[in-house]
Amino acid sequence: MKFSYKWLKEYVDLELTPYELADKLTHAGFEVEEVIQKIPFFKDVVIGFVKELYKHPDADKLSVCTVDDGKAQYQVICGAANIRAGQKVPFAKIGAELPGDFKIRKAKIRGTESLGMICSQAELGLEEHSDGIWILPDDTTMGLDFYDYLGSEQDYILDIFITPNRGDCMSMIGMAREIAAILDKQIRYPEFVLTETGGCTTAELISVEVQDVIGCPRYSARIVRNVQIGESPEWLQKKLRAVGFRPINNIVDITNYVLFEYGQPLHGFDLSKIKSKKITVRRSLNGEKFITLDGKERDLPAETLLICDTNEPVAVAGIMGGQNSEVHPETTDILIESAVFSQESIAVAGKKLGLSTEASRRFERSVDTGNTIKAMNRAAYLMQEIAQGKICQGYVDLYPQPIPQHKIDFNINELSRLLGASYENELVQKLFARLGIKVDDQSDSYIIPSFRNDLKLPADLVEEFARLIGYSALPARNQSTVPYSRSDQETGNYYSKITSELIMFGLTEFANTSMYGKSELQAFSETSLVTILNPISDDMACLRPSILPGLLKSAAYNINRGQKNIRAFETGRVFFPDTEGGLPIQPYHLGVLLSGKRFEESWNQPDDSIDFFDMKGIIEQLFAAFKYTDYSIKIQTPSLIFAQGEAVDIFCGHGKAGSFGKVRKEILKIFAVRQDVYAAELNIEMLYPLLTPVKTIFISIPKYPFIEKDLAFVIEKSVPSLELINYIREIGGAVLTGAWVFDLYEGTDLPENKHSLNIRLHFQATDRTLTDNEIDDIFQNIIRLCEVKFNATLRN
Amino acid sequence: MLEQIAEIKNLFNKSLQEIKTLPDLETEKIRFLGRKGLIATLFETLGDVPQDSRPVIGQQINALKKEIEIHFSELKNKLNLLTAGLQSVDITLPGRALPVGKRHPLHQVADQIKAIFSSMGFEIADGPEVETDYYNFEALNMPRTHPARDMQDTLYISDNLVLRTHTSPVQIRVMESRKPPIRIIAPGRVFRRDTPDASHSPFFHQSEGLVVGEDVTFADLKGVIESFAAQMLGREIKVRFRPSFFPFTEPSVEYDFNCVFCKGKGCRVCKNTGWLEISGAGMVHPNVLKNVGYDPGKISGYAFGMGIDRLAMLKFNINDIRILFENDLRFINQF
Repeated sequence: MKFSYKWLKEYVDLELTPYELADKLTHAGFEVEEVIQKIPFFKDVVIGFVKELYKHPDADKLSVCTVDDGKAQYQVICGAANIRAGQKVPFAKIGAELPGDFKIRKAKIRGTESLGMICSQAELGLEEHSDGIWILPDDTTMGLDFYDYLGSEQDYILDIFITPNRGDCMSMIGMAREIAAILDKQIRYPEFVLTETGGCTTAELISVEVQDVIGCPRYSARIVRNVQIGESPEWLQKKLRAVGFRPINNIVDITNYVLFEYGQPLHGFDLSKIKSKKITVRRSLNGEKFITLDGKERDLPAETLLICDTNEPVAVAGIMGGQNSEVHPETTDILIESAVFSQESIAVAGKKLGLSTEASRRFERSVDTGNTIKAMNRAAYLMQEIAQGKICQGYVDLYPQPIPQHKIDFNINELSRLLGASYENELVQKLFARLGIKVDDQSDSYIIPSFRNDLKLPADLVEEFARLIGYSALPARNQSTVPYSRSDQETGNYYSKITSELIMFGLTEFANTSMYGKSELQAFSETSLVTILNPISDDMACLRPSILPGLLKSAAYNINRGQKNIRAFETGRVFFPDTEGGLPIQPYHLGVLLSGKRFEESWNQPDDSIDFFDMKGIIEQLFAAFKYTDYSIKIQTPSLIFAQGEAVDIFCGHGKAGSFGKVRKEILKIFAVRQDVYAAELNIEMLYPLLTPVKTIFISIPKYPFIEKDLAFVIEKSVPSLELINYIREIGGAVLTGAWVFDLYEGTDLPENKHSLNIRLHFQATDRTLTDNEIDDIFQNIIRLCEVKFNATLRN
Repeated sequence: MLEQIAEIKNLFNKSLQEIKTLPDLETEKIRFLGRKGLIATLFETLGDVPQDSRPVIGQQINALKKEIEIHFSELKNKLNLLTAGLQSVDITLPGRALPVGKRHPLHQVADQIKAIFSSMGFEIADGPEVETDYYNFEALNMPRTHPARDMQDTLYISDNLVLRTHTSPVQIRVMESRKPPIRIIAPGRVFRRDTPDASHSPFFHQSEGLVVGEDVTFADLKGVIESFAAQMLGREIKVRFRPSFFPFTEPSVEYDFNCVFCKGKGCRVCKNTGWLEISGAGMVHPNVLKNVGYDPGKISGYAFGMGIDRLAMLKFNINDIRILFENDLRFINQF
């Protein structure tokens, strides 16, 4: 909210500069976001007198003037149409510095020398655009420094962030009261005298009925007659403009002015439009419609608090007035409404209507019920002074259940318990007194002023104390008395182990959004998607059910920029709707993406593209890192994501933990990826209980050497190699410590449906050196049995 | 004669030091052992020596010759070894590259935060990213009509479910599930209805901190934040605490770090204030303690937040948050 430094000074004496004040406020909980100087700095501009002028000999639109500054006379060229001899003007001398880094130098304009510049308001940084030079009143003194001369006009706008608990500071008086407390000064409230010359009482002209006392705890009103609607005086317009408000007419300006001054929202009704002479405050019924001041017809949500002409709505309470009762140029009698509406009712109605106004913002933060009369009278007084209004005698004030004085039981030990340092009672009471919080002599409690309805608990008073003494004055302690938390951090360690293993495998970690467009996600979810009710845009409307869409997007981003070799992974939560409408299921998933060449292009690396077995290797190594072997990899039933034939599912424990394979062309198309991609996705939350690191126990290294034997089987391609290896292991028994495929050969010398699997075998015993004789039987057995079982033949 | 032998010996010693290559060696070999070399010349002048001393001098010349031969031969072997491999590879060709993986810079910073707080005895906690209205707002002393809800523009899944706007709901989940003392941090992803620009992302990362027990004071909060700042950004970093407002803390505080770019002198990044806003903190509000069934008269606690993305941006001098989530390899590979 914008505050005028000058305006604040009407209520509290300020010796501090606006910048010093800003610093004090920031350290007291009112963050000053910006200080704006109204008149920007300029120098060497004086008040000059245009003694004489004549037309420039070589330019129609230019005048050659003689300007007197009281000491000397200068020849100055001026292009303004409104310049005349005998005027007093702001005159920038040679060497003057104007806003916008503009320096005045001696110049020659069309052959004639010019020794300075006659300024417009725009040139002095006071307005955006000026139509001519600034003509000053005749009685101004020649030669005066113009910046000093404007001194009384100078002002600073403090843009202050008011936290939602401090609705009481959303006004000049409220802020001034707070400043007075912070700086230990006295506040001056405005003083004025009403003369009730309206000829009758307010009560004779209007009656008020409040049907909902909870929604409207207090309703005050008073009438001012015979006002003359017109423009507000200069001072009022200036003040409103300073805080960012556009002047409209004197009556509207006055209600706005008092809103800014006192923080009490007011509404001025044209009394003649309240035909029944009775105001009713009631809740709206279903289906009511109403045209607000801004000319929009609105469907009123049920239970909206309304101000009615008996039954006909004339305003949405605390939010916006109605077109039907608006003040207009012919209005003569004004009904000033100064009411308090409950925080809840305004917040709910404002949200439902999608309306946020100066009034509603204050009611939402709650308004002081003790302030309605003062603010109303202030407005009436101003209408009398400015709009020639006649104030009726008395006022209407419905306040059936006055809010009792609020007290907080406060033990001074709360300060040491929460702040870690103890303070003298005397100091505490003194600081509280500055805030208007008084000690109650009858009990151990403090009386809270009505405008501070944010103070409810002892902790609130602790904050008030801390705020005034200054947070920097509070102690810091480096040794916590709280014992270390139990180190139940296995999940964290486990996730970071997965990450660090993958980085060791040469994969780079990505971080992608959780929100995507529906079209990007549909293929990735077997069920429906979790969607956002109020998305920022359609392409951020759904939550990811998979890590892969993000990885694919990032892959496309890199490939488009010439970075075609990608080895990436990402971990994060994915989302599936809960069938009962409860919290979505949101497990942590791991996604891996490989694409491009296996190695960066180099003279000494093969030029191979990444294939299925690169991905399989990563998955196997990851499990190996956790010493986990109890998983199986099986051909996948057809899926939307992975291409048939190069797609597998990973089964662990009770079920499927993930899949990997070659990504289908149709999917790549969605993300505009134009090269082959292999991807994997694992539910790492499901794996967690299975992968929990096993305690490592040392196994002694074999003392006796192994014997190595190679076999080459010509075998049908349809036989899975793993089956053959597992069978060989079975036959080999305990002494066969290793068996693996070390080469695979396909060639024209073999039948088309067969290939040669070259298998290496290691035989080893833990207690002796094996002899060739010992293993020969086993070796022959392997050959014989594999020939029988798999129709495999030994290749020569 | 004896002087001549000594002189040649000297010459030879000097020569040995100077020979660096095989051709050098050949030249020197000829100079000393050649047919007209220095040793041969010595033998030629042997005739001038008196007869009786000839055998002794002759022996000495022979000894020197042998010594020279041995040394040259050793040197030749050595030079042969040194030069043998050199000519066979072009050592200027690049080495065989290994694939190198990188931790995302955001997570590098998160790791650092976790390590610092772990060392101070904090445990890592976690919570769901789609939260109920209760955990995200109500339990944190923010009923439906609370104006503070406007401070954070919320993305809704349903009337009752939101994308969590902060990591604070983890406070409630942890406190509900156990008794004090508690000392946790809860890093994670949060969401706001902000249109992306250089300083806003609709999703970003925070870490919550919470310490609850008996005799937990504001002084502990100040101590922990100061200690964290020093470990994260260096001992010279100053911390500033300002009063603020959050519905779930009382007293509330906003904490700033000395601008890491200008060291507090004032620059464009800190808008000439010398300070950078980091996050909010405060003493856990009595209503929050009540909501989880603790006695606010006995138990106290402090909570704090911090923006992980923001700290990463400060640490690495990144001026646009969006680059963190583009995953450009040229970006990630820098860290």
